[in-house]
Amino acid sequence: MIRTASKGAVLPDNQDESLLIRAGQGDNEAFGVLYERYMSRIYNYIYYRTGSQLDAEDLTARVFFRAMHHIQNYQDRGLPFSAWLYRIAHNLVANWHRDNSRRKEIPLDDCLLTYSYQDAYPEAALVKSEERERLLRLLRKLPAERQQLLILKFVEHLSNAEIGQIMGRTEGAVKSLYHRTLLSLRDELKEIIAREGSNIEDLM
Amino acid sequence: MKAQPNQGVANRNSEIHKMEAQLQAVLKPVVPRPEFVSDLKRRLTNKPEASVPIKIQEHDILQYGLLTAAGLLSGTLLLIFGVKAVVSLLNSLGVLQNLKPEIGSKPNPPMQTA
Repeated sequence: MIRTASKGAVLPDNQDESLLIRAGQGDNEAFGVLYERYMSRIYNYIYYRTGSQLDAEDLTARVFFRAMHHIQNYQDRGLPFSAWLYRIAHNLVANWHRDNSRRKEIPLDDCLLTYSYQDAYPEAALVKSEERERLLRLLRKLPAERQQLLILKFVEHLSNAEIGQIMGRTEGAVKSLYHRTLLSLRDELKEIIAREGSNIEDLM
Repeated sequence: MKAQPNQGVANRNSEIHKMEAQLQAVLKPVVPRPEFVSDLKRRLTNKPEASVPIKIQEHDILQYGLLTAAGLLSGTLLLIFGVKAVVSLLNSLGVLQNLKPEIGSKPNPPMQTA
């Protein structure tokens, strides 16, 4: 798997241990360090789940406030601290989707700074915006855990083992789910392209 | 004979790789606004502000309780003093004293005619 970007974000979680203890004792500076370490990952996850910059900011803030208020109850069960944060984010996003029956369109990349991957991935330059929008719409129609898997894989560049820790699945289960997700996305895309092709033919 | 299944697998793998490339192109990491990042950090690490939400909740319950009790007490006192004031006013005017015999004396039952 590609691990070129955001290497700094994937820090070993044993470095968090002392920070977590200090944060649990009310040390806000220690929590601040944890915040700096994980904020971007949580923000990205929420951003791609909601498709809205404003909602991503609001929910990211809620995740960290909730984490701070409950950090005394945090128990190290051998899982990375990020798994706990992702769990909070996952629940908040689920509530957000429940509260927002009216789905918003993804205003992606507008006004947002993005890392350029075009040099590393020449395919990126070839993907047309229409295809991109279509793919994003499809992505957001996937079940939550499949969305999470793809976001962790492609945005965070985590390995199957790391994703498994976060999602509470085995590495094999993640690999299998990933494969099935890609196949179903491929089938959906084919179906849409075929439908659009027939619509164009009908119009002509 | 086994060329066809291998071809199918190869096609599927190629499609999967294409899909991966598309996803990689679409799912780019986004950078949150620096103002948002710094503002949230300030709110999180600033102890008084960070602890405000919990304290407000605790305070709220206490405040509501005290306000309700104070409201009830002052309402009762206002009622008592109001009644007393009216009674003393009527007394000073002699209205109640004039009414007392009338109130005290029961009206006679109507005489039944044979």
